[in-house]
Amino acid sequence: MDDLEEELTRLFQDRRLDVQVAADAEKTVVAGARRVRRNRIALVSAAGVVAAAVLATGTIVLTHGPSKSNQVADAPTLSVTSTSTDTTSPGTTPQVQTPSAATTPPASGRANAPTVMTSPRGPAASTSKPAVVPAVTATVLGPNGYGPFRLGMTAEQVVATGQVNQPAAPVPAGQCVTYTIGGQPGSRIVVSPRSGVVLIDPSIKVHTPEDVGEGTNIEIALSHYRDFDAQKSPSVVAVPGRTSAWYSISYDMDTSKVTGIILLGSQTEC
Amino acid sequence: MTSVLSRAAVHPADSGDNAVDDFGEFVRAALPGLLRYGYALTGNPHDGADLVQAVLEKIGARWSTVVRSTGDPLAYARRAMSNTHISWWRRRRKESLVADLPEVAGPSVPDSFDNEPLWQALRALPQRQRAVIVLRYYEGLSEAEIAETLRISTGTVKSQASKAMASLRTRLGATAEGRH
Repeated sequence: MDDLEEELTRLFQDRRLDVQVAADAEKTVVAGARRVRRNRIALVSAAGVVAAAVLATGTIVLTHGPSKSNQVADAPTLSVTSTSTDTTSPGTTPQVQTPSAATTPPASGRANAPTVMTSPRGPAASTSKPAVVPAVTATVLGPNGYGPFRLGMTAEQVVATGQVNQPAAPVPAGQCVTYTIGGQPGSRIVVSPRSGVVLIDPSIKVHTPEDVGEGTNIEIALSHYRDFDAQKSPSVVAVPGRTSAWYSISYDMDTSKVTGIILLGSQTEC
Repeated sequence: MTSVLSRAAVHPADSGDNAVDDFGEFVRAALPGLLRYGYALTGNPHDGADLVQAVLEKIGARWSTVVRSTGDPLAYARRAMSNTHISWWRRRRKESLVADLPEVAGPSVPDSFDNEPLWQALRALPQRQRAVIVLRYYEGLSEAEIAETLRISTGTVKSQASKAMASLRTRLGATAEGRH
């Protein structure tokens, strides 16, 4: 082992890497896991009902002729909502609180080790509400927003949707705030104090109303967005019919396929 | 202790064995180590905590399955952290090319390693190279184990490690020269 390798080993054993665990961290994580599970089950249930309804429709088409199939085909819309409810009672959801006190883990003896409070993910106020279907179900980005989120919304309006997580670190007044969408790690809703929501990145596979999304060939993107730059990724294009909204379209230069889309409002605020 | 999650288990097939179904106990025992690992991996205790939380929430949502299929949820969590961190970084890099928006719109946090040239050099590495270094010298994994963890070939592990070590040496050399 040479000097650099020894230095790396020493560095990674340094006790300054010890992080104090917030008192309620365990509870917060467990509550978050329950929420992820609940959302997953809701989505799976909904998908299952749709699949079952499609299957039922198909069966009736085969056995009773097409005339009755239209009646059955209307069923999924109602059934999805009624069967996507969680079997756990919302009232049993543990209270998610921002930890106020920290405990020192056994491995840490340093008084100045950084204290990290794992932030509550998902709406804290949801403890008294029915399970919220996350924005992950929305697949269309633009022209004005995504799911319940709209460009220009204030931070209060964004929070009021009940579908965002608070920032991990406190944000001083007057600065832009970045929220993540519940159930969508890596997503971002950036809110400017003056202009409201200025960036929406759902972090999942979405497409524009023009049906440009992940996997779309850039030739198609070019046909919809005249200002699309096929030589530069990402390419920022104006949202059709809007004067203060843009799509930032990333694509793979080798495959010429779109790899991601972000909706932007004013880019000068944050 | 019976975890909240195990009481809330909904799917019969995923209810698991009570002896291993205690996600809350796992979180309590694993958090200090995982937060430390997250700090090393991301170079920032707050990013590290976000990473730990996101990964644990996903693991907890399918706890019994993870326990049954992996046999070692702690190793699985570390693996998931490495891969999730790299994928987050890819996404953020893509975004940063789009608009001059801060990754985290919060106050800067003083880093106790600010005066450590090696730490600063590590932070400057691309995330996959950094992950390889952390897995090698923090976790003590072999090249084959790193390849398995990151789902890349051993050849890629070797090349990434080689590039990372060369970059570290270059940066450390430059820092040393700057001091003279």
